[in-house]
Amino acid sequence: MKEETSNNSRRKFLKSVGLSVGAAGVVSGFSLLGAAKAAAQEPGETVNLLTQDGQLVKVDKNQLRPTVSEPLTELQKRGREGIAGKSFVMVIDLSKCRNARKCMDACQNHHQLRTDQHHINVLQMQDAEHTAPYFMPKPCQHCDNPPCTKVCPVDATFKRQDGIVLIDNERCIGCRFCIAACPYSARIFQWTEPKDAEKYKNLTYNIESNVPQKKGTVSKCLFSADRLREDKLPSCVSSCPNGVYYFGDRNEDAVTNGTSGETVRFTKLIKENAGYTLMEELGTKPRVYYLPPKNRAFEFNGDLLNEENLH
Amino acid sequence: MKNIIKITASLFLIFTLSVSVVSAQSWSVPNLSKKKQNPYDTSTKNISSGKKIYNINCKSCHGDATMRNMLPLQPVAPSDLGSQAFLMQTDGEIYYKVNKGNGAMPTFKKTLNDESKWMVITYLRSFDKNKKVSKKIAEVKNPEVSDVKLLLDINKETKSVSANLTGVTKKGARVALQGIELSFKVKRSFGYLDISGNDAYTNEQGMIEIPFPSDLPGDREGHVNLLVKVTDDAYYGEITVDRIATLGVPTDPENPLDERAMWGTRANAPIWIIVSYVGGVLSIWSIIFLVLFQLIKLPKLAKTEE
Amino acid sequence: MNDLPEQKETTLSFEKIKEDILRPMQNHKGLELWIVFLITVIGVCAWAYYVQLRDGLGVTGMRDYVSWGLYIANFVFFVAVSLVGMLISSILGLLRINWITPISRIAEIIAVAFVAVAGLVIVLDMGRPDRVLNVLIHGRFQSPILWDVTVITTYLVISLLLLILPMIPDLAICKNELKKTSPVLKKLYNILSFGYINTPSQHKHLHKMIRTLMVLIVPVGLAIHTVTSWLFAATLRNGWDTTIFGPYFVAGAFVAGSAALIVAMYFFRVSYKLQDYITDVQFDKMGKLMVAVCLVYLYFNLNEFLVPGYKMKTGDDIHLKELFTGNWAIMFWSSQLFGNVIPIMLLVTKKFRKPLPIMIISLFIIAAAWIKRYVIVIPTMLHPHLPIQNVPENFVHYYPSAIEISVTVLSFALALLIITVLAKIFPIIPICETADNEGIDYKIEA
Repeated sequence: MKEETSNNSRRKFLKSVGLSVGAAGVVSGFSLLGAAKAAAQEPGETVNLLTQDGQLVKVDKNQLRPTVSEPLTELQKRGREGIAGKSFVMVIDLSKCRNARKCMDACQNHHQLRTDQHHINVLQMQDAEHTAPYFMPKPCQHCDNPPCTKVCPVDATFKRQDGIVLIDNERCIGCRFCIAACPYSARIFQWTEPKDAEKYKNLTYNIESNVPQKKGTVSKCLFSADRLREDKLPSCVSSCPNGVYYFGDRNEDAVTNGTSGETVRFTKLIKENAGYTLMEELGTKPRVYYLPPKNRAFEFNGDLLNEENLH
Repeated sequence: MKNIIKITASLFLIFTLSVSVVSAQSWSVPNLSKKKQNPYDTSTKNISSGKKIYNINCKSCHGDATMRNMLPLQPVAPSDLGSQAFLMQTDGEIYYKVNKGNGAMPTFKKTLNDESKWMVITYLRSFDKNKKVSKKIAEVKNPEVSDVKLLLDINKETKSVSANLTGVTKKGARVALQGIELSFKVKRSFGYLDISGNDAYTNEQGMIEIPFPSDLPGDREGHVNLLVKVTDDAYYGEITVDRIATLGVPTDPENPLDERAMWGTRANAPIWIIVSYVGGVLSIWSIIFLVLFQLIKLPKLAKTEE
Repeated sequence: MNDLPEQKETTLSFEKIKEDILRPMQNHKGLELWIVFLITVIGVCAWAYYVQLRDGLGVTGMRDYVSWGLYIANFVFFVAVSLVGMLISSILGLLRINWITPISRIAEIIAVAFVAVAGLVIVLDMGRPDRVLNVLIHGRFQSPILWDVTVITTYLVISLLLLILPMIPDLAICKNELKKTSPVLKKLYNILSFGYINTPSQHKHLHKMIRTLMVLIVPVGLAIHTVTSWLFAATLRNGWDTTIFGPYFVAGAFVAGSAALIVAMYFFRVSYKLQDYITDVQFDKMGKLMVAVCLVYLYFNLNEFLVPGYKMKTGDDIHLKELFTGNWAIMFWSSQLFGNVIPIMLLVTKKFRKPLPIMIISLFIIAAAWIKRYVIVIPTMLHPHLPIQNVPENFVHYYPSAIEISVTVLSFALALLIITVLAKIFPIIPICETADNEGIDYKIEA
């Protein structure tokens, strides 16, 4: 009991540190002119802007440099091409996950999602009746034989050269065939107006973060493709407090842990920990690898898998 | 001014006292645990691997050992684990505390394996001035130097990287710096991959040679971005050299889009499916249009009969 | 044949046939009321669709896990029913089976109406119907949806041609006989009769075209329902991931389509007073045909459920248990019993093949066929490979919303409206073909 409360206080502490760091990130990651210049001008119109950290901020128009906006077609073009020479992979260490759900929060914040919409979802799993339950974060698997892009009638969802499967909500017709085709339940649909639709209204659509979201279209995990362009780790990876995620480039044979920042050989990590892919029998060839929940860092404390949670 | 000093001093005293009371109360270690011995020897190799584990798992709160740069947390700040006050404890006591955790200090019972924990203790013990058995990493006293230079040499034949660390003494002579740990890193997309191994200390000539991993991919030409630095900034400040080396395995990145596939875009559709679809549509619809064309002829047939 | 009641068909003259068949087209109060009723229903339900357009598909019961619901089940049902056109007027027509002559046009009208509305139902289900043209602009050859759009359009066009072409002689008669009809219809008859005056060369030419289309529609008809089944079979989901879905759907479609035809036959027979044309013979034969297609369907059902049920593979087991004994058991078993087993048992007896009993049985079959489509679509979506977690309660279950049901009613009303209007402006029984069958000589004036 005592341990529990002390853990809590630590978590709170980490949270506050995380917040202040995040706020610093917004300011530094943002193109602002010198304060003197801004002060000299009359406060003009304000606009909503999305920073690379996925934070939405209101800024005075005068403070903006004109380089911020990129035309839609250019974003679409580079978004569809992907980053040349890369082959992104994720490794999820199940022995470290204790259902902190910071990944889910960060993701929902980045991609304009409500709390019941998951690009990444931490599931409570139990493989068979007498096996031990464990937590399993489940993003899109970015399969190399993706069943979802196969069925799309309009090239709205597609795989790019760096292996990431994206969705173009300027193209999507909302037939939801890809949702039916995905065996990992990785896709969601904007059944109603997305969260904060008003706030995001005037933003240029960025296919690499699928923001702003649009009513009547499909959305999915994108490995934070907009962040990867700046060599930043995906939102979920860098927000994990428990060192669950590794992310990197298979071509470089290196993955970086989002929590400790430690970079390790991908092949070595997989080999030494008996890494596997999810439902490999389906032939989807996922790009997300799992390390089995062996020698766990935390006790499983989920609601021990009531029947209704499982199915 | 004096008053302020007095007040701060007394506050500090009260604070430290209360802290020691708190810690004495809540963090007592059972006698049996105190006697636990470190099963690993104090080799430079173990110290070095302990330091790496320390940097990943402990440094974020405890700062660098002996540097007193811990996070200023309330109410209990983390201790400097290199301080003599801390190192008064037995190995068993430290081991127990690492396992248990206390307050903001998490338990490492399962996050670190036993070997790693003992390595960290070995590393910390290297700062202990009272332990006779302890060996400090930088045992060798290097003279006080300025203008520290780190030279990097890449040997393509043996696929190795060597570095030379020198400095200029007060007398103006350039001498080798010995027993200094260097880190050899290879730049990857999201961080640096450490390839130094466990024993990366300069020798008497200030030299160190590290084999480059034979299977580490480079770019198309095998180029990798190599970075060498003096691991501990505390000695000579931040000293780094980086170089593009042709030591990696030349890797031609595979573009999954080069192949025509069912999952590809329309432009990448397999030929057979385009042919089947277009062929099917054309054949069926050409017959439909043929019938429609025949239909137009129907009225004319009435006239020819007449 | 001899045991069937001999009717007074022998006394039919061409004039009588013309009169009997053209009469309901000119004056039929009940039909007009029915049309008004259908338009009202469509108007009310169109408002439901407007709400869906305005607020998004969130007004339906569908959510991220059950992302295909009532609409898709209904779409499959509509496609299934439309297949009757190909079965009756094409397959049996090519086999030169005579008793289908009076009902082939009804079958073709059902086919046109249901396949047209099926195409519409897909649009109703889309999140972004405003982007429907993207399918043409950006269509991917690898997507079953592109194939489906293609075959549905093709099937609609061929079915329309197979409706109009055999009707050309009749329309020539309409042009001459229906003097009091509206000028628009007159013009329509004039254009669509293509100056047909039944010269031997015209007759030969026309029938050559019809036979070409009859052959052509067989692969297209098979394709339309096979491709529809591939929308499901192309996925990796438990319950859909099966190789027999194509023929299974086709077999099921024959059952549903035949039942729809029998019901339509009955209502036209009673309402249009066509007892002399749609006789007990037609019902009797349709009853036998129904037994045949039901047996084929039963065989496929056996394969579809017995084989995986025997193995109970992971994933399949949850799905099958839910169907056999779980929450879906009532729907599953009633669809199997009322749509398959019981009709076979009843229709082997002659007295159940009389018009009224077989019509009632067919109503049950239609309802069961619809439920069957629902049971094919929804339970599978409720049992994905990975657990459904961290979502609100309404993601875990699926109940169609009032809006969804209204839009579905809209599709039914629209299909019935198309059938009714077509039956109002076109002769529902082929006049000339009937005369041909009876060996009656006739002339069509220019």
